[in-house]
Amino acid sequence: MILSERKRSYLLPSALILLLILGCAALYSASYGGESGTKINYVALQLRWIAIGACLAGLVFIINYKRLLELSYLFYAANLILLLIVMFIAQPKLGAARWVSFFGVNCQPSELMKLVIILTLARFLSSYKYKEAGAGCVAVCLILVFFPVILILKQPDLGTSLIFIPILFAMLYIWGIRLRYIVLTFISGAAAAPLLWTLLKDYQKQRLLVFINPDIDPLGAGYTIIQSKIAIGSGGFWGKGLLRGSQGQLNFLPEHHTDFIFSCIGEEWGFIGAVIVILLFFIIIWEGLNIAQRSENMEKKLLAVGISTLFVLHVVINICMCIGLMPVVGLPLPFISYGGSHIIVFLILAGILLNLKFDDS
Amino acid sequence: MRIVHIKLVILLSFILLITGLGRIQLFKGQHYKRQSRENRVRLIPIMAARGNIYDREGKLLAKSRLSFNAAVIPREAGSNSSTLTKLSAILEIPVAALREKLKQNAINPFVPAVVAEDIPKKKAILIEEKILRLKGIVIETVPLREYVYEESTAHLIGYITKLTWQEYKKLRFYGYRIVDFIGRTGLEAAFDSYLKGEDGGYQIEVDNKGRWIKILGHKAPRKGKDLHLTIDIELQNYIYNLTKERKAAVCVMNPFSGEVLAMVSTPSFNPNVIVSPSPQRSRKIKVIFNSKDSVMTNRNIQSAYPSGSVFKVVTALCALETKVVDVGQTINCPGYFKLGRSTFRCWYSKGHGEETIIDALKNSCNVFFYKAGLGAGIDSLSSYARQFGFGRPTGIELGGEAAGLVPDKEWKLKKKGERWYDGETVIFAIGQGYFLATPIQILRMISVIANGGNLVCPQIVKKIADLEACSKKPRRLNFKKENLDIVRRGLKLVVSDSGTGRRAQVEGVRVAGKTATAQTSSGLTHACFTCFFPADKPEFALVVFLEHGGAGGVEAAGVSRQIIEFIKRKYLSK
Repeated sequence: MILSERKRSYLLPSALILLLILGCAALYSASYGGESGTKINYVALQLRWIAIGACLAGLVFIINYKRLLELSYLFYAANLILLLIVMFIAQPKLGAARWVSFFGVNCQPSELMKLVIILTLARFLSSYKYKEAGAGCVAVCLILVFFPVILILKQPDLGTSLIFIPILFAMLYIWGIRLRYIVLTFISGAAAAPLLWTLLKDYQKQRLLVFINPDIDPLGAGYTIIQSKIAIGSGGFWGKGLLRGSQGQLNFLPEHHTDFIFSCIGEEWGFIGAVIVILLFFIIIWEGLNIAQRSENMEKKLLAVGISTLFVLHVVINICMCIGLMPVVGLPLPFISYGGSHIIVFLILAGILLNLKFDDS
Repeated sequence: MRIVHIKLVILLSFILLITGLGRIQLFKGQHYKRQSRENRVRLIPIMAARGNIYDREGKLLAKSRLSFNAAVIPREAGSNSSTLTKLSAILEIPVAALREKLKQNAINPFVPAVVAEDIPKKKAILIEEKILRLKGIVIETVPLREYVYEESTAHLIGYITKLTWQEYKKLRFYGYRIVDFIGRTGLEAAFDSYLKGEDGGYQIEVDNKGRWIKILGHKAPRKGKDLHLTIDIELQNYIYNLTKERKAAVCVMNPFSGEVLAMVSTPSFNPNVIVSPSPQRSRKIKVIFNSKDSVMTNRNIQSAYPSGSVFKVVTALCALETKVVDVGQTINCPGYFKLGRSTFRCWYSKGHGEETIIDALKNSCNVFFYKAGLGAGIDSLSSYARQFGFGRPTGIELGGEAAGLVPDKEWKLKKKGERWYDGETVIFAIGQGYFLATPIQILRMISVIANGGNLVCPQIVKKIADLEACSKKPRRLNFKKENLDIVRRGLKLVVSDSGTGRRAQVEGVRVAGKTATAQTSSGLTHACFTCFFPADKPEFALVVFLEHGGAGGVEAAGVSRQIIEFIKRKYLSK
């Protein structure tokens, strides 16, 4: 509000670029010591993904978001087919089958689905008005979300599958649904939770139990939570300095270049660095919501809210997991964690957000 | 506007994030910093070697040898099970056994857990060469205890085992660690604080695989102090081989200084089975511990027996000192002694006839000592027994010593709730009844006669490292010299052609001793012979006690003769 309108428009892209740079620095540190013998240069790989993602983001920035919305049902169908392919023919990695290979390139359809579901819901909801449509329309939305959730849950990937539900509610809420429907759904969801528990895999149950008390299995499932808390906590206010984090550098912290990269940031850059990263995320998300707030167009509102909600969920869940406030679920930290599918999808989402921002229609 | 609600929720969740972050980074930062350091810095202890034990001539009895253990870093082996498979191929131990060991010994994901102990040196070197391909394997070198003479010195030296958790909790303030060994019996237990060295170690920085990144500090271990014993291992081994088929307690001591030259208890056990790791160790240890023959007991000091006739030495001196009998006085032995309605028999049913106290000792006549003991009375008898050191431990450095039992009126009233009967005095006078003594107490008793009235303290340790172990001064007993001489004359006659101990006669060495054939509640009698020699200038005192060994004059005196001959060859033929 202090900044002029013109300067404000640079806030979102600058925060994004800064975050990508910080992400590469963190990744450099996280992959620096590496496992001796199997050193992988994650920064170079990540830069490749960023390049591809930036090109695609530029593409969606240039073409109108309306073209994407028109194609969204097609995307949805294609993505569902990809998920089915994963379910039947994909090769398991780390105990879960999430990858499908195209011409030697592994891609994760569940990551792509995050983008597609937002587009699909935005298109579907924007073509109806709540006062005219009513309950039938909500039911269709639930069905649209149900298929991907079940398929991803089957992979099994609890974190990704559950993330679709709050996105749906956020978009429905903006669309104009009555609060009582949402409350009602939450209550029935809570009632169904025990039922859901029986559907969970053993390792998923274990993760949830360990979250409640990490000490029940300090060397097994609780290990990651404990090590992550030690890493972040030992960073203190100023941090141990780049490449100086003993937890990350000495590999005490597993997965520290992907889901637990925030623990490395907390350890090496301290409270001050971690807060800067969080604030950059906050700027991006806040700007996304400002787009929705200022626009009168329901399509834009829905898209901006859907994307912002997705960002918020990823950031909050990932960081809460690193500081031990949430169970371990495999959600990457946007723009920072290493991962091809995730970087590309999130950059496309950022491209859409920018497109919405500079769209004058 | 609904968008404002969403903004509010998001603002709150970001505040939550920063608060959570601040809590663990700012408020609990110090706590996590310490934990991170504990993760990173590890103390790799280097076990100090235990002190050696030498005999009086400097021969090695117990030593520490370097052994190799294969250890696995649990975090590594858990994720990479091929490590154990490869290790199993090299060591020729099944993977399941290694896994079981790993489960037992793992205490921390980064601290190496021993999976195979005392592996051959060649294999240890082989593993060290392949260490890069065998991820997470560490070869540890640890000193291992070895007892050179195995069964022969088992009771004397004892053995060591690892601390238990309860012991560790008590001893950790005294420099003990949970992986430490502690002496359990014998000298290993009694001198543990001297024998145990001071562990050293490396303070190192490690990564998650426990790999050494750099050394932060080093402290060299300090070896424990050596013990030099008064034992003559040649004599010890000779006696062991002589008695290993029997249940025997044999002890040789200098009657003046109390230095123990040999202390053998049979049947024995091999302490190396307990200290050195082997596949069937626990089964073998069970065999030792469950043995019906109490192989773990040092019969010299831990078993109290009815002493039988050797106690007549005490009775004789008591009767002389209390003037109940006189040197010239004779007492008639008709082969039995009537007291009230009871008849107490002499072992020689025809009777020894009229005899002096010297003859009575020579003949080991029961009737003479029945009468002499009854004359002196229970109070004097038990008082003299106590002066001779019976009824309480001798104070030898070994633990678990039995006190024996000297009965008296008070004891009887307290224990049995009855008054003392004269009949009990009669059998006490010949070392039967309630009276119990350990072989070492008998040896100390005979030494009093040998050294002219001093009660010595048996001693095994001569030097600790370079320092002379202080020996306890003998206690002067106020016995009249002429009375001691009378007893000595009797004991000399015991080992003569007409005495009960004639089988202990050795050409060229005058021996003075006393036989005993002690009756037991069940089974064969105990056979005992105790003596000192050369009789006129004693240098050695000996006790041979054969549990259920038969007649003292035959069995025990026979064994003694061979021992005396060995000592003669080694020490007296100069």
